[in-house]
Order: sequence, then C-alpha cells, then structure tokens
Amino acid sequence: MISEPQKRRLSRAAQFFVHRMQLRADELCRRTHPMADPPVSSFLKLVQAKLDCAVLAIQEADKGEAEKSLRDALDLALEASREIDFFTRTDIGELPYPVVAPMQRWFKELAPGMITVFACRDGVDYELKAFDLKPYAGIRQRPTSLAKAYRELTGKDVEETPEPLVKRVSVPGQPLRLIPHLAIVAHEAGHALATQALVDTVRKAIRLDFQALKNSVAAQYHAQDAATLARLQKEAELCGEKWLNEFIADAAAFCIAGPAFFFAFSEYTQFTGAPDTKKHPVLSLRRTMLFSRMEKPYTKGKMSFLDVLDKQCQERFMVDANSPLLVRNDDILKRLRADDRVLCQCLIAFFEPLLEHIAGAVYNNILKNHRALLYLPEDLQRDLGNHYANLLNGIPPIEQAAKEGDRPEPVSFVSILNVGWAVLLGDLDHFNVSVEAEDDMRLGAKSEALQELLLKAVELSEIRRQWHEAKEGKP
Amino acid sequence: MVQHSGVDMLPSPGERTMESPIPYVRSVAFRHVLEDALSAIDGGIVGTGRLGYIVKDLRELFDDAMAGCRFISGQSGFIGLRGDEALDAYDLVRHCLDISDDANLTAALEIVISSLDALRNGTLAKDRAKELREALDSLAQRAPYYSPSTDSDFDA
Repeated sequence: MISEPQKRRLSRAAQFFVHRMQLRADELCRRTHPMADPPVSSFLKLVQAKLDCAVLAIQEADKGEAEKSLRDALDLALEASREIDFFTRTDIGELPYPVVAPMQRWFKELAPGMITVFACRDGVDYELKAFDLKPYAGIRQRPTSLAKAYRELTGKDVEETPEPLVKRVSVPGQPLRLIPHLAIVAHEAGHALATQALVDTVRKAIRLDFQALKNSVAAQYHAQDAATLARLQKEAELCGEKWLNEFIADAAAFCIAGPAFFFAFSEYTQFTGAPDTKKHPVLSLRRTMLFSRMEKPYTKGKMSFLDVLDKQCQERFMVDANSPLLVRNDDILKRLRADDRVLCQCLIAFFEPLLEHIAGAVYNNILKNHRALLYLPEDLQRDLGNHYANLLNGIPPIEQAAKEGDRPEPVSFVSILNVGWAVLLGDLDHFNVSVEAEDDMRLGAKSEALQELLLKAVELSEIRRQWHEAKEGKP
Repeated sequence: MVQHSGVDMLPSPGERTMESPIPYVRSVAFRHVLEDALSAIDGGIVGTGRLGYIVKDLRELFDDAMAGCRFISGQSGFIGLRGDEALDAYDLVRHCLDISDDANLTAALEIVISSLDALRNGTLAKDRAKELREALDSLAQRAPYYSPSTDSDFDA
C-alpha cells in the first residue's frame, strides 16, 4: 500500500510520461503520410487510443488500487512509446506516395486480409515485421476511442477473432534506397503470400520429407550421444522449415517481379554479407534457384527471360552477372562452428535437388490464384521493345498501349524495374544523357541519372494510373 | 512570443527507430487477461464476452505451447509457420510452470487446456480450479520477465 504523497508523486510521473507520449503521437499524426490504404494515421490513432487507456488508468487510481492503476498507466505509456517508434519514418518526406502505392498493391493482391504499412529503416535491410494487435484487445478498461480506432484500422471490433495480421514493410532510407533494388520488396510480398496452406501445398507437391535430412545429420554426427543427435536433428528440421519458407518467398518474388528480382537480390545481398544460416538459406543456393527460372522457358518453344535479355542486350548474363562478390558457400562454412557447419552442409545437400520443384510449385500456385501478377518472358519482351531504346535516350517508361490505337495504359512498376535493370546492366555506356563526372566515376553518375529517370517513371505512371482510375470512378 | 509545445525536446523521428513493440506476454493486456482469469476462477464477476476472450487468448498460448512441446519431443514432424510462436510459448510455459520434463509438461498442458474450457462453460471442478489457478499465477509472476528467444520476422 502506498502513502498519499507517494501516490501523488507516482501519479505525476505517470501523467508526465503519458503527456509526452501524447505530444509525440500527435506530432507524428500531423505529418503528411503517403495516401496508403489504410492510412498511417489509423495506426497512430490506435496508439493515441492506448494513451487514452493510460489516462483512464490514472483516473482509476483515485478510486482505489492506486499502485496497480498507476503501474498500468506507466506501462501503457511505455508500450505506446515503443509503438510510436515502430511507426516513425512513414511520412512522405521519407516515402513518396508513388513508390509505396505499387508495392502495397502486391500485398493487397497476394494477402488480402493483411494490413501493411511501409516505413524507412536504415541498417535493417528489407524486412517484414509483425505488429501484434493483441496488446490492444486484451486491455480491460477501454475508452470508446480505442474501439473506434481499432475498427477504423481493421474493420473489426476489438476482441473479434482472429485478430487481423498487421505487418510493417521496411525499406532503406533515402540515401540507400535505389529504385532498381526495390524489387527486393517482392520477397517480403512472397512471405505475405506464403500462408500455411501454400507451404503445405508446396510440401505436398515436392513430397518433402525431412527424414532424409535427419538421416544425413545422423550420418555426420555418428560419434555423438543419442540426446545430442536428437537435438541436432530437431534443429535441422526447424532450419529446414525456415529455409523452405525463404525459398518459397524467393520463388514468389521472381514470379511477380521477374529478372528485376534476380538482379536486385543478387546485387544487394553480395554487399550484406553472410546470413544467419539457422534462419536463411545460403545466398548462392537462393541465387541458383532464381537463375534456373531465368534460364528455362516457361512454355516449350518460347523464349526464356535470358533469351529475351540476350537478344536485347547482346550479352548472355551468367548466374553471377552482377554479383561476383556474393559470399561463397565455402566461406560461410569456414566461419561456422563445427556443429553448425555440418548442419548447414546437410541442409545445402538436402535442398539443392528440390529448388526447381519448389519454384515450380510456387509458380503453379500463382498462375492459378494470382495470374494478373505473373511477370513472364513475353512481358519482358514487350517492355524492352516499347521502352528500352527510349530509356537509353533519356525517355522514362510511363505509359504504353497494347496495340496501336488503344488507350495507353500506365506502365507497371515491375515493367519499369525490369527495363531499368536491362539498361543498367546491358547498355549503360550507350545511355544517352550528359553527366558531369570524371571518367572513373562516369558509370556511377550515369547510374544516378538512370535512377532519377526511373523514379520519374514510377511517379508519372502512378499519377497516370490514378487519373485513369478516377475517370473510371474507382475509389 | 515563442510558443513552446514541448515536442522539440523529444528526439526527432529517425533518431530512435530500432525498437520493437513489447512482446505480448509482457504487455498490460496480457496482465489484465491473467488477472481477470484468476478472478473468474475465484468466482469474481467477469462478463461472458470478456470471459470468452480471455479463454480464447489463453488457449492460444497453451495450444502453441503444446504444439512446441510435441515438436520438441518428437511427437510431430512439421511445426509450420507458427513455429516460432509455438517454440516461444513452449519455452515460456516450461519456464513459468517450472517443468523440464516434456512428458510431464504435456500432461500439465492437457489439464490446463481442458480446465480453461471448463472455466468458460462454468463446469470447472474444485481440484482443477486449484491447478489452473496455480498455473496462471505462475504465469502472472514470471511472464513479465520473459524475453522471446526466437524472431518470427522476415528479412531479405
């Protein structure tokens, strides 16, 4: 039991903390955010409502059980402060609307029940992070503002189950955000697509059985005692499931973003170093799976992505075309502890023969359920035919007509990324823009100029899309 | 006159951005769920809707713990996409109930899960109420100090 002066001082501390968080949430709310659906302000209103819960708890302190109520108030304010951080760097100063909108459409199409928000984060790569709504639904005393904010964000009532999935998609901040690399976000969209049902479908399609993996671990660990072996086999299974999820997300990303994803993934990850092999497959294996989709025609007798690129760029891209520095398996294995090294070797040997089948099963699923999102070699052929030469001459890809006389449609985000990569890798020397740079930095300056043109293309095609949708009366 | 809103004293967005929301089992909401569940066991008045929510919420945690326990003890092969949640729940419950043997933990979880259903249906027997109370009490005492060991998020 606390004394009256103690209660008063504790109440002051709680009020001060809650008040500061209110100011901070209000300040963030006043910023202009991308016209996303749902708007970022909906998330912030929910956080503001949590602070209203804290105010209620402070009021409750006068009615009895002061210590408990004030502790609730302080803890709620602490939770709110962490959630405010979670939603910072989401305003248009950080993320222009035209960049967010096309990527958010991937998530809307692939995971319609999921609520996403985009944010900038430096130093954490591209990331999909969950935001749990349970800490809202379980609060005992809730002001009406909480129910209202919850409904505005989710379209559901608090305590209605199951809680909708909320995910934050992180992309690097302005200095590190290169338009061609944004294709990596397709991998996060792949994770959004990969529900348990899809994972089960893929597992069934490729007849996945971790027994072979466990057997190979047993063969490698023959000198170990039974308990250690059982633990390591469990670990192998767990890692196997994580690796499978990553391969599925990669395969889905390639389906929707095509070669742009392969090039973006390969180039970007060669600078990010070796991943934690307990969570992620070795990079070279992921690259191999993607490259096999580049090489092989989707339909017998038709061109593959590589054939299309070869024809346009007069260069046959190899698996390491833009990623010669990608960390090699040998280097990864050398750095691992003995147990982890054998585990990793077993996983590599287990998954290597399955890669094509995983990619094929994911492709079949997207073909069946999300056909409009598939990016095929014929799409690349059309895009390069329409825009490659123009882009080389400094004209960004903004709109195109299916055939002469048709109404021009906005060029899709994926098309822009793919044409951009083709010029970036295939013909930057002939990119016809004037840049002021020393000879040894000309390619960098030209890449920057191309980046600007691609950003322009993304912005203008998105405006064109909005214009079309407005004319057609779409919301 | 310069107006002082107080906001300028706070760090600007972008300076502090790496923190994640507090894990659910350490949140005020989870504390309230446990307090209300304990109150309901002791015959306190908890609305039907609230009681339904509490039982659903706690069942999810114990069901996850059971899935984690079955996976770890080799009773099931694939753990699926909720693997991290299941293993975290297993770890938390094992720690909070202080049971290290998986067979004993499975038995304890079965009792807790069936007792929660009985609590919702108003058919909780006295001896089971005592066991459930002890389990939830341990959770209330220890969960606030628990940190999940796994990371269920995805990066590139």
